[in-house]
Amino acid sequence: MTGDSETNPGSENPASGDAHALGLTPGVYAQLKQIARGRLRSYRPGITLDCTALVHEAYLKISAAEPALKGGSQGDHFMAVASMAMRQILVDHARKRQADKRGGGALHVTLQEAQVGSEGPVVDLIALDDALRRLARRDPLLERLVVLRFFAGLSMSQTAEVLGKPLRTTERDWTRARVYLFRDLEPNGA
Amino acid sequence: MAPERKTPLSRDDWARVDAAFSQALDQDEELRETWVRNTWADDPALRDAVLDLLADEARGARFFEAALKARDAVAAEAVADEPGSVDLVGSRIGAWRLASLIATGGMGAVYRAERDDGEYRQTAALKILPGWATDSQSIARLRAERQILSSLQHPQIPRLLDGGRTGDGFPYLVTEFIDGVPVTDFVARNDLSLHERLVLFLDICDAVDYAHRQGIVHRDIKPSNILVDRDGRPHLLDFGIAKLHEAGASPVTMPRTATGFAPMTPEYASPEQRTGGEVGVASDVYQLGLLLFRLLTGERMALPVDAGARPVGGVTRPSTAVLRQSPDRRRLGGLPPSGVARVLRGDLDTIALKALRDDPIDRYRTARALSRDLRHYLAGEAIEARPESAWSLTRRLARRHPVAASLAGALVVVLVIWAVSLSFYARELERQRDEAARQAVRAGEVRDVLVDIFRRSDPLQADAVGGKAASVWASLGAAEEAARERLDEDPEVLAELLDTLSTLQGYAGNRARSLALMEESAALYRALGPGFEGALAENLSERAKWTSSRDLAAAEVLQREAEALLPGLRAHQPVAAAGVLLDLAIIAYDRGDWEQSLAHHDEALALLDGLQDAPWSLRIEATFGSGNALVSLGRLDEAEARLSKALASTRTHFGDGHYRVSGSLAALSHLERGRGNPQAAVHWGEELVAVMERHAGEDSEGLLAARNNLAIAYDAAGRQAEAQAMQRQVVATSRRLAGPEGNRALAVHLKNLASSLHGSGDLEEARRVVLESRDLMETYLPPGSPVQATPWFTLGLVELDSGRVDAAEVAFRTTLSLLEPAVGQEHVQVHVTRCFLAEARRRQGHGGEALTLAQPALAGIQGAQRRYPGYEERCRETMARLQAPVDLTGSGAEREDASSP
Repeated sequence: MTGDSETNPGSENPASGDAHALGLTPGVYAQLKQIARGRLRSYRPGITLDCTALVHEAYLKISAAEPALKGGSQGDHFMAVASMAMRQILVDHARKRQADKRGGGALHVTLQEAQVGSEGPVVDLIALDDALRRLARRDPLLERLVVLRFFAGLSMSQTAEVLGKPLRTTERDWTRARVYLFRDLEPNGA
Repeated sequence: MAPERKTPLSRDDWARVDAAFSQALDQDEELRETWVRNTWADDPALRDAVLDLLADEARGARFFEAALKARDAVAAEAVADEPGSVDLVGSRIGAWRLASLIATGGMGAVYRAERDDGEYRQTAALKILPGWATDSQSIARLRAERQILSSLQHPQIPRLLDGGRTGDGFPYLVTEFIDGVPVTDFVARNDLSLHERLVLFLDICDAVDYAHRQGIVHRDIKPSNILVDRDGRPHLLDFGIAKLHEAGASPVTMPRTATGFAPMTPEYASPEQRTGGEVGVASDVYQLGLLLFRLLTGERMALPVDAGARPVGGVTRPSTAVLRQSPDRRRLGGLPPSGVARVLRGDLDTIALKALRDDPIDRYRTARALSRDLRHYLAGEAIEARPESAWSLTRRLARRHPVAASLAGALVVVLVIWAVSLSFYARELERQRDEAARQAVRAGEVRDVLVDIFRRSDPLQADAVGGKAASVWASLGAAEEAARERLDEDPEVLAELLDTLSTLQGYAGNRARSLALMEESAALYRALGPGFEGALAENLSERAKWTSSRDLAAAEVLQREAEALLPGLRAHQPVAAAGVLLDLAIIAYDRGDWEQSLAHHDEALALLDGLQDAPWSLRIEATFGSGNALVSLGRLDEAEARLSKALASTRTHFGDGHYRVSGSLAALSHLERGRGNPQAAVHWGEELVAVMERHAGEDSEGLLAARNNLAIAYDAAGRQAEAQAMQRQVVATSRRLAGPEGNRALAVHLKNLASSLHGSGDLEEARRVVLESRDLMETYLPPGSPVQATPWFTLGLVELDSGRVDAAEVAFRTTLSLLEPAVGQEHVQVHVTRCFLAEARRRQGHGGEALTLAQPALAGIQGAQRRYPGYEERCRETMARLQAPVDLTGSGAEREDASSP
């Protein structure tokens, strides 16, 4: 951990501020999340979640209803916002699971299965989310990159396009982000 | 292994380490460590921090692989939160035991089920629909829908056997189990011929049509919903499920249907499904169109979205899509892609596109209408589909959508407009031979569309349409005959139709026939006398434009007659006058009289500006043409303003990616290159190539030229690798098109590749390529053409930089001997060549002569409006060396530069 103090990471909405800045109404944002949930429903264990397809589907559906989002850089903004929604949904779920494990929730489904056999360290998505917020204070661009690349699962070149950066730079920054986040979360090495 | 604990860094330290880390990552991977040690040898703290970070690179990557698993695990949990999709294999639902999971998706999970009530053995498909509301209203609707579904009795629609609700309240449906494979797999595996595919498709259409007549719309027709059994019979699954789903969907768990987000498969959704419009029979027709496209081409129609998932207009013709497939694609039904394209071109294209129209009104009204037209086709009869009706085109125009995104249809559109106007006029004239009424009709919408889009000859459109739909071209003769027969008493309408036909003949490449028709209509206009001066003048000027390239004298006669009519037109028919002026402007431009061309364009613009509702297509043409003339005149700043304006209004009126933007883009790219802004030239050039790739064929001259120019812009922008890759691609295409004999275009492209190779230092290859170019130019260019000089110049550069100074001297002198007689002594290219010649002479030891050559040459280069920074730089270097104190080691030493350290 770095020396930064962290205050109440769960209280702020990582995306809503940006969503407003992009001129998205809260309604559109809610729809976006709803589509994401719908997409999640089609997921089965063993099949990789296709976050890219989700973002594209959401784009198709919402841009039809919200023509202002179409075209050029607006399309990139959309991808960015959709990716933030993905992050929020995933992290919310992770939080909910944590709450349930503490006995607070009524859900009985556990996901031990999905984690059995997974190699390497078990990564806590909430901790990763927190680390990403800390990283954002030093370099907000790295945060956006991680959201696109990791939470939304965009390819390297799609990420570069949305960020408006050359591919090589984006690849380099992805390496930077991974190293910093790894160090933040695993200060003693893996 | 584990590094020591890191002490926290301050924010400033972090920024410093981060910057250094970024720099290190920019180095080649193998060299990084050494590089870091060398670079921060004086700053061990920074050096160690960076090395430490580098050491964590692999661990960071592994960490994120684990993170991905965590991400997917959380996603899986989200799924588990949704009831109804938990794997139920082995459990019993109603009378059924679930044997295996067949498929799962947003619409629920499908299981293979065996009857388990001891009654009799039966295998079925059991589908559990997720996300249902449990209120009584939804349940009632569900029951009603199920009742309707059970009424479907068709051999190719699996029967509904049973249904109900699972223990935890989720509805399920049981249907016949079909043991088959998805239709796309079936046709690929058995390599069905196109004919067999069509027959199979007709079977599917019949099933859909049957359901439609029972009042049931499918809404989700896609390959995975169509299974073909062992007897080759297609079965259409999941009829009405989408609707059912929607009917009972809970607003909490489903995307809100109230806002139009109906459940669907995005890749197979109709436009109205995507936009939340009303979904009905037309939507199924669209999805059948997608399926037809897939069966005919072997691949899914590219959704009308671009790489960034941004929707764009237009649907690719199946025949074009087939040709765009990668060359190593498997043959389809025993045919190579070119053979498939030949079969598809024309009627099958038209049928598929009619099913795939954006606007439901423009599609086949029913699945049966679609299958009927296909049966016409299979029987060798005329099909009913027309690419687009006059009215829908007019509507689209009114909405200012891109006009005729698919220009293959343009011709038939004209024919339809023509037929509509023909019968309309005939009827109208029959009823009342009233001049006023006739004028009103003539001023109507149909005529405007016709005049605006097609009457004005448009080389861009001709290029895109040319050579396609041969069967339709063949029908022009018959159309002409019918027009003469029915309209011989109305010379006015006949003349206009003959004009239209002449335009079409022009598109078809029958220039002579086209001119003959125009001559005939001109005679009619003349006979009609007062009131028809505008039509006559436009006819004359357009004919002059087409004639000028082959018969200058004849063209001048026509032109003079048109010019004589101009004064009267300016006052009374300004639009016609503007049209005439634009033709005259093009003639002047082609003659090289750019001042005159500019003057005509400007006058046309002035006339149009004075009008309330001047046709925007003319205004764009005038703005663009004047910009082009200004470029040729070297008035680049003024040109830029005009061209940008033309580009903006083309985008506004025709749409962003429309073929027509290509003219402005090409001119802007060229202009920016001339102004020494290679980045801007690349920007416009890249857009141009993208537009051409979409609208012109891979082998079109236009695309080749656009790529060539983009490569030159890349070169100028210092992006040599991209320049060269593109140049090589251009040469390869050009070589293929030219055949073993080569041609002039190949010569030019080779020369450009050679320049690029020279720039990147590949001198040996550059030399080989430029020699081939030079030989081809000698064969294919007229003697004395200044273009002949270009390979000599490049050869000179290659020789000079290879240290073969004597050969360089010969090449530069040859360049000058070809250039000077054609362009004069003061042309910037002459100055550039002289300066290089000076450099060659200097290295040969003739410093005095070199100085005499170089001094005025450098001044000439610096005084030119077109910037050549690279050449200027080298010329300055030559001057500097010539003016430097005499090097006592002698000039001869420089020849051995390459071998000395």
